[in-house]
Amino acid sequence: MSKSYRVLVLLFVLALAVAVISGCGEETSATTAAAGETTTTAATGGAAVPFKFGAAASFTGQYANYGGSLKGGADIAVAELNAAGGVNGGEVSYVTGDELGDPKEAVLVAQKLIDDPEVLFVDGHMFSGATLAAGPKYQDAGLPMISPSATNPDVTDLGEYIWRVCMTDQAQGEGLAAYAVTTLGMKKIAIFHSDNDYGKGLADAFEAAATAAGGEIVGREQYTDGDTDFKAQLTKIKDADPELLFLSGYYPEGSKIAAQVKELGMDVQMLGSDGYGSDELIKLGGASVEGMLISTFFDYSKVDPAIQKFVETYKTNNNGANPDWFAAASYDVIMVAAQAATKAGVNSREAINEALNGIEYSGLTGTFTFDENGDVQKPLNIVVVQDGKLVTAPKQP
Amino acid sequence: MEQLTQQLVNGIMLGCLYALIAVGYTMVYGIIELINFAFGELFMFGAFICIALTSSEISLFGSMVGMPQISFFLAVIVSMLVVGLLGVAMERLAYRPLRNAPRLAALISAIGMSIFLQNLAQSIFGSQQIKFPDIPVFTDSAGMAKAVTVLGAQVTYLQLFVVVVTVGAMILLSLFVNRTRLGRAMRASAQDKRTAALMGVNVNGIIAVTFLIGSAMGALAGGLYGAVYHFARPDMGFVPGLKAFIAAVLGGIGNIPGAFLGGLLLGMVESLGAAYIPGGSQYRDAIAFVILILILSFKPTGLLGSPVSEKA
Repeated sequence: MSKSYRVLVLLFVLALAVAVISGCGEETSATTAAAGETTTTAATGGAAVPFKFGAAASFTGQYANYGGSLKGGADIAVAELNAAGGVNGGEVSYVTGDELGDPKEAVLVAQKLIDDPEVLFVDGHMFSGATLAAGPKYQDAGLPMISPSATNPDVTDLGEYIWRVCMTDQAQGEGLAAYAVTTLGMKKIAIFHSDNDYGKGLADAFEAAATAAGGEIVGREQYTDGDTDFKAQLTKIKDADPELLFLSGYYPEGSKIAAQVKELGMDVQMLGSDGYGSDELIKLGGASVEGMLISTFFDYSKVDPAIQKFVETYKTNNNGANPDWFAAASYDVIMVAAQAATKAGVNSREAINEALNGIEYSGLTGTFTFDENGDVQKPLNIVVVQDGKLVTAPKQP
Repeated sequence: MEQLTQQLVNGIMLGCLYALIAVGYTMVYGIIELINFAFGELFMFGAFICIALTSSEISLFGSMVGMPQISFFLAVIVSMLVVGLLGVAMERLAYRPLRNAPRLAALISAIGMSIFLQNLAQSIFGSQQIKFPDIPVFTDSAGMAKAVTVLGAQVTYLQLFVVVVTVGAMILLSLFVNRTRLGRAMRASAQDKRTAALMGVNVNGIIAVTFLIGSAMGALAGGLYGAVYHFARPDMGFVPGLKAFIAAVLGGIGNIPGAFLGGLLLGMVESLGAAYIPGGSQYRDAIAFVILILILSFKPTGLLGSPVSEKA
């Protein structure tokens, strides 16, 4: 290397080092400043501190529709709150963190949201796997995280900053098992589930409860998210001749599973978990998902003024698309956090978290209060795919 | 017994799809010794173009655009042409300039092409899955796939079509490569480019034709795959592309009947392995890669490949 070249390289490396070190330095000073800010604001009773939160979900990639629902619900909540003058006088807004539903990405998004001093709470994450990965970070940093849809039982065990507005898979599994065996009278049941945290957890809970209720699990198979061919496992299930096929996972795979069930000539009633509860399943699955029963925490066909108003606003904002329960849950998350902040009188992470304890909230997904774990008790709804729409199923749990 | 028949049927059909893609890989490798990692993306574009042409409208760059909604069979042919030309353009832009560079450079270029094409598809069609429209010939009035029962196994009309098309494509390709002048020129160029050029073969043109045909096969596979699984997604080409590469290696890379055999074998082993190995369904992709390792360890030239002597 010539001398001048070596000097150039050295200068470049030095410049890089300076940039990296100063970048790190900025971050730490920001967090200490933030800590300072929060305490002064609390002490003075708060000027109009903006009510800003983080929305963490998969906004791109194959699960982008879930994030789209989160956003859809969030946008309506934000508009409503701002129209009413904000929360504690502060304007409501949010930043998004795209984690693709991936636990590894979720951790990175968590750090980003924690480091933003204006973020008061997190509306998310949506998938149990991502939530379990990111949760410990929020817990350690004292940033309240309220999940609209992570149903794995271990989620709220992560600590007092972790909440959720959906029922756990333990409760969902038990509810669905009782529905299948007792209400529907199905005795021979097969389970086909995703091998991710959510799919497996729910399948375990369902199997245990269904067996206890007197049902017989004639087959249990699993698949990996992203798979396209399920015929190998479905052929085994077909051989066991079940009356009911319980499917636990997300709708991109679900739509293909349903098509392949039909292609194999299987005459079986399908029962899908809450991950299937979206019009997207119908868009992708077409005729093969007709008649599938799906568990959901929000039924958009219900005749209830608050629900219908939400549905109408959502349809106007989203090209006529119906809201799914993820959108409704996202709305409820923001509203309950706003209620907590209003109760506390101040927009801060600590205050919101404190005020969520024992709060009583009535919203789109029901009336509920958080128990000491951060969980809620909610009723299970069953919808059925009929003529390309999700309607209330004739038999309810 | 019924179950085994069904599993075999599943395996054969999967194998046919892999075989079609594998043939594209093997043709290109045979002639310029390049593993075209961007091939999976040509497969993906094949699927998307088929969907675009058979739908009444599709979202392009975020806005809905009206589409001709032509017959599936016509759409596949158009898609093969378009993707074939795309393949030729790819060769011209990304690989020909590196023809005399170290092989690693062309490989890296291929990987770069793959990433570029995936992101291009994402920009055009969005990152979400879109549904493959039902094909009227293969779907009954209730929207279900028409099927027949063969020896206790359920075989859909579409699956039969895939097998017929694969076998037909193989036969046509074999005839073309072995019985036509152009095919002979291709075989000559694959054997020794310099000498072929001395014999009056337009090697650059032959390479372009190879890419045209290979990419068209990939598009055919993509269109059929999309129709069978009712979807398309910008990243759908990655795993099938890898598996087809394994199939091509299994059969002997550069060998066209070998690619067909390798594809079938891989499809069968994957399907049967996923069904009968305890806990195998989780590892169905791993099965393919285990096969690759075994083949490379014990018979690197593949099942039908001939020993390759190092060029002097």
